[in-house]
Amino acid sequence: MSSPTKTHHLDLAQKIMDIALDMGFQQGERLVETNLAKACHVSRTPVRTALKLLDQLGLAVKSAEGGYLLACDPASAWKRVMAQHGNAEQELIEMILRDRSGRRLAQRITVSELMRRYKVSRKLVQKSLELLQEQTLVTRAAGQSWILSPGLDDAAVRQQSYEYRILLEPQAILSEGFSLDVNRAAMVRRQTEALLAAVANSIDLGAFQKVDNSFHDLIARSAGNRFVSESLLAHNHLRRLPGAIARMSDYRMRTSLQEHLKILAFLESEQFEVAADLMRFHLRASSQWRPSLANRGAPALVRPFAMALISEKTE
Amino acid sequence: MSKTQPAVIALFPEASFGAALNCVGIAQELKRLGTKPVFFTHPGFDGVFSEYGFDEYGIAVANESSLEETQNYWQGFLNRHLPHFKLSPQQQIDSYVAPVWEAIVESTIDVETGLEALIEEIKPALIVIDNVIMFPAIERASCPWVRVISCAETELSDAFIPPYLSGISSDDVDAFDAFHRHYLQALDPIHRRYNDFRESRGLAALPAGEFLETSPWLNLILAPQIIRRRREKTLDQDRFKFLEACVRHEGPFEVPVLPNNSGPLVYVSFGSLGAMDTRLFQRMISVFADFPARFLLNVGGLIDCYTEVPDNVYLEEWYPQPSVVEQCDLFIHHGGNNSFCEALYYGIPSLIMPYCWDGHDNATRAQECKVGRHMNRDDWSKEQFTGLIGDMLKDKQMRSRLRSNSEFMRRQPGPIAAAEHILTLL
Repeated sequence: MSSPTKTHHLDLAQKIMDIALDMGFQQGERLVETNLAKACHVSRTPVRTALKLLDQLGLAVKSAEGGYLLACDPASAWKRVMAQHGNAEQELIEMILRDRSGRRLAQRITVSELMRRYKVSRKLVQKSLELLQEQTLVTRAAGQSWILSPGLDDAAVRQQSYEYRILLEPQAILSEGFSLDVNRAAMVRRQTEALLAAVANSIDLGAFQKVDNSFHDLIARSAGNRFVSESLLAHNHLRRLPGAIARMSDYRMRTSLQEHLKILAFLESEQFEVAADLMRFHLRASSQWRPSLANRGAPALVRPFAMALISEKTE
Repeated sequence: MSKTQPAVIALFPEASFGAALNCVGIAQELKRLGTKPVFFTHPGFDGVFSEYGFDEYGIAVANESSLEETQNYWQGFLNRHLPHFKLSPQQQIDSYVAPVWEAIVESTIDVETGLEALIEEIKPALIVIDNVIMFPAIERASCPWVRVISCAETELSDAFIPPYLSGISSDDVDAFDAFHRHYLQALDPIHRRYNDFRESRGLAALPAGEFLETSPWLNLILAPQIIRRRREKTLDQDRFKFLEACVRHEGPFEVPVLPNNSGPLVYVSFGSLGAMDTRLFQRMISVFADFPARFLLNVGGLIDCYTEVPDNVYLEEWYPQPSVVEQCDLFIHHGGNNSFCEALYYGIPSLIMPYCWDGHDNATRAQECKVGRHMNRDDWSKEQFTGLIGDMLKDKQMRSRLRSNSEFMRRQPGPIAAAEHILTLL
């Protein structure tokens, strides 16, 4: 199993590869330490160590002029490396989160149950739970028990997430010193337009989620207020977890992407008030639930009704 | 038709997903052919059609209830009726069918003024109604109207066809009359009330048991040839057009990788009302846990009721159903006509466990036409259920029959045919 320090550097190396992928970097592109440190919200020293690690893994090479160059296709290389070298905690975390989203795990779990289910050591389970605890995805309970926090796959939590974002994302745009990262914005625009160019009814939810995350990360990173930025990025991390995004129609995905483009246009022309208003509208529209219950002869039964039934069952 | 002012076609499906999504399929084609389809929506059903990019117009309702009152009403309705879903079709006449017709008549009266105002405001060139009852405002409108029959074909009665909602097989002719008489008797006061309402709005009364006349312009019947019924009276071919299926365009569904990811793929959906019966779903899930297949379950808005889901089972609140059906090996459903037709369109066997309405008719018809099997929704053992699933997954004859029928249906897409027939009226 990896040491905590090595795990941290591995995480950072992964973040760097994600950034390279998000930014559309090609093989040979320069990996600028300062930019990466800013993007990852860390100092340059750990970035340098993570770049060294990427060098050792064959994903980056030292440049003759100093610094590092990307030495791979970021889309596939990281997965390949992880498959070879493994990161047992991360793999276990992903399985736990996937199973939580699939409602396969009870809310209260014990180390022994997880050891049996995943056929792994106590040490590995404990380490993984500690890492999940750092991300506030589990809390320690009495004895050997842990409580899984409700994720964004829970309807009520997802609604709260939207309410939180409606409060904060427009404020990020209006924050003093908001500065749009133009390179990243251009990349987000390219990705969005590419997805919109897909033929009707062909947009895959996973592809949409990736572009959607890039857009909202861009807003968070561009905020002038460090705390707003950090808070939104941490929240966006939750939105990447399994089950965090609700399935939606092709039409809603396209409309959402078009709303992103409109917001970007207003940001680029520095009309921040309009962009903030559009962001509020965009999030409100995205938070709307489709009517979920109806039948022949019976008027539509809207979601609140279903939720009322759930409350009654749990009371 | 002017290029700058496309003809506005108002679609008015009843507040059920089957009818709604059937109309979405037709509207997508109408739009492609240059018209402007819009939707009239029942209270509480708004948002469904805008998800597909169509304008919606909500109908104002007399005596509109608050959200809380509506919730309480429907909570009571379901609490009362969930046990009735275990009953036979004949037993359901008094316990379920009559109260539902009462609710339908009530809501028809409630929306009349709002609907009339909406038609006056929008002035559609044509109205498409996919419902089980006539709204006088539609017949009084100064434009043609099209009736879509997206329920089972039994909705359009004929002496050779088993009574609507009876689930009686075509051969059991002796049973037709008793069911029909019981149905008419139970519905009599409701039907009289409806006829009084029609007459007050200037419409002629309808014969006993009928709530919706056929259109003098065009009637579209969603009944694929493989399950179509023999009639004593041949329908006028100019006014009655059969559709093979009305499968809408929907996004792709990527089948998730499950912790136990082996075996054929079975999709289970009982429609939106069926999803309320969480006890049945729980029981089925416990059976699926030991069966060597992967199960995708559409559990609707009550997904939070489920915990400790087995490793070969996957739950979602909503699926882009056409894409899922296309990829599965068996479709277990309630016999809703839309689900049944989608299964036929993609050549997938249907295991139908009906709980009400035309589900009974489709379940019987699936068995008669050898395109699926009928299973009682409540009265089954684990061995019976898994035995039937196993048999159906191995039934090469049914699969081959369905595959060639699917090829036939795909050559005659229903939405295109429907849209083309509708456009002849403009």
